[in-house]
Amino acid sequence: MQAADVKRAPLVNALAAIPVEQLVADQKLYQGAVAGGAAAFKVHCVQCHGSGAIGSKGYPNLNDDDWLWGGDIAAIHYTLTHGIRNPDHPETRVSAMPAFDGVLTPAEIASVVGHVQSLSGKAKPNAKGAELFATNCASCHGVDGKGLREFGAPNLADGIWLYGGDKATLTETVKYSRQGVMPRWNDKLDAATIKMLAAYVYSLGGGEATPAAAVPAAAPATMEAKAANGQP
Amino acid sequence: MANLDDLMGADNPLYEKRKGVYPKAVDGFFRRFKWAIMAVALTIYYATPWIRWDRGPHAPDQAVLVDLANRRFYMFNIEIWPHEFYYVAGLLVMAGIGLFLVTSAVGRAWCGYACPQTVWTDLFQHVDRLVDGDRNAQIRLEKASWGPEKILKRLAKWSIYLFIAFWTGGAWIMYFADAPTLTVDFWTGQAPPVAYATVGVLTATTFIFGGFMREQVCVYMCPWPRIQTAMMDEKSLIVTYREWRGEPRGSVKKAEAQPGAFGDCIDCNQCVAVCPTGIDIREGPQIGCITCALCIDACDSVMEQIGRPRGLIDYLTLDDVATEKAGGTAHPTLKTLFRPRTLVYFGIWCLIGLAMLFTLGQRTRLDLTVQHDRNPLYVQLSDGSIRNNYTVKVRNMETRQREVELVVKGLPGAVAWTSTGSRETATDRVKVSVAPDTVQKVRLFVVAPTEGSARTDFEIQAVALTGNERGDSDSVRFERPETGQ
Repeated sequence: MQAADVKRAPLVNALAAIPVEQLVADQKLYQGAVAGGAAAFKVHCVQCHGSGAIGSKGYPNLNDDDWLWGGDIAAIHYTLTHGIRNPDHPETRVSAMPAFDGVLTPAEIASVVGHVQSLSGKAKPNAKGAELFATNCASCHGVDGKGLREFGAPNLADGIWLYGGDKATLTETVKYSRQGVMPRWNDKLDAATIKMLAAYVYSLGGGEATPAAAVPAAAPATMEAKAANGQP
Repeated sequence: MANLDDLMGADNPLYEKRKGVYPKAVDGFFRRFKWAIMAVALTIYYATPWIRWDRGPHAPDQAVLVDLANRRFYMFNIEIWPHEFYYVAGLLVMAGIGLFLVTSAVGRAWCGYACPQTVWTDLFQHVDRLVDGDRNAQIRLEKASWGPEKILKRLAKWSIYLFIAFWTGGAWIMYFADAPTLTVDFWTGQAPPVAYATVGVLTATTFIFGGFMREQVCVYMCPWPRIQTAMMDEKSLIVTYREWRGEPRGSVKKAEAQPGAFGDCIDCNQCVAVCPTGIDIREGPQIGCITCALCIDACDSVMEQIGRPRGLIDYLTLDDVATEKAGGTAHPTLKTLFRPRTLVYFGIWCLIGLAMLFTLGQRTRLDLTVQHDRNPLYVQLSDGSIRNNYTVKVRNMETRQREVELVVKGLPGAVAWTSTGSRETATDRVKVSVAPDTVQKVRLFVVAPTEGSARTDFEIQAVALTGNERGDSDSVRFERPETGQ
């Protein structure tokens, strides 16, 4: 083990030093991280997400292009570090969908479910459901139901369902809400391993490009340049 | 049936104790031929690794190199990768058939002239003559008791043996690494242990086989004489004593006293004295005869001296032996060489050679292997389309950087990208840059519309972008969910 650690040291040290946003650009380091992440994934993640990372009901498929909290490497890294709905951790990702049992009548819930299904062409549009959706759901899921990553609100208009898109499952979701939990890894894994896992998940095919604004390296230089020019 | 004890008892051991062989120096056509072959064979063996061959900056510049560490085999302008090992297998088949051809035509010519055991034994026997003197001096020294002269001469002789043996082993390792570098490394103690071990083993075997065991290797250890004997027929050339001409033996004086009473053999024993395996060819064909034909040289020179026709010992076929015994004349040698059997062997040999040359000319230096990822088989995307992932290996077998395009063929509406691209900019083709002489592993993502059968076979092609070069393709499968959700 000690010999293996010595051999891994350059990769681990380089990973600890590099900002995660810049990892993909450093192809050699990135490939090493993906390989390391694949191994770490088998130890820490397969229990919920499966060995092929395809997930199951309630556990997201990490291969696809549908992300609750964002699919660029920095967002994935944040989710891995801080987890989802970890009550003891202030920086954790939190999203609390209300349970509508008692708030809406069963008939109203049925029409909302009908409307949600219609967003992906699975049911006919209904006016009552659309109205109820606009008042109760659109604040998080958006008027068009396409979700909002800031709240981890899923896109309801696409072909991917975390718990299921059939009537019974959707009714259950609306009635009782869903509160899936992912552990945070910052208290269990070292920084390099978390970056490796982020790289691996990112590499599975659904990874999104890092938004230009989120790449930090260029930003200070610009600010310095602005300061030098006497601009605010 | 004979009693087994009679055959294998102490009186009839299976191994005959070695008799000393001290072959006499001889000159003649076959001796010169052997000199020429030894010169060519040893020159090729020692010089080949030192020939340089420029292959550019990304490949070794050694003309012949078996690069085991990097799994490449270089031979002048041919580079063989491990998956092309069938070329080596083809060469071995050609070598096998070539031996059939040579054996059926000219008998044990391999044993007599080209076999390393023969070449090195011959070399060592010249060392014997150099240090100890010719046959008689060698025998005298062998029988002499150990004194200063014998000790000195033995030390000198064995040192030369060891020197030759060491260079034999030393030359061998040069085929497996850059020769100049390895030479320096070898003498500075930097070479890999396997190099020292190989030199050690080959030095030992050369020293022992060439210096001491000699014909014993041919008679007792080597399977090849036995196989060859089975492959020869009555039309193969073998070294033959014309006993119908030579017998009964009698000296020149006796023959002068009684004309007509004796044959041509004067029993001078020169044929025995020069034989490197110590046999008497006049006893007929035998396993110890490697057909080196030195006895022909010896006998011919004696016949010339006493004014009798040459060829008392000669290359003859068994058929010719029967014809001559019956009073006829032997077939011309050319007619025994070109006969259906040898022509068929030669035909097969040529066919394999030409087929290999053809495939060598046709082979692609760009090779593609695609494997469909199985976990998961497919991924359903948010817009309903289906993504399959493939592990693609692009082999660039040329020593230069190459731009290759991977093209998806036969999958309607499909787009593909690699880990450095994205779906937004994806088309049906992806560019991949492959470093010289390497295998590039690429993860290929292919997205196709939901509509379609659950399993679609399609093709991924690798197209070389520079020039009009041949590419490669591989058939793979695109998987969709069995029931659309």
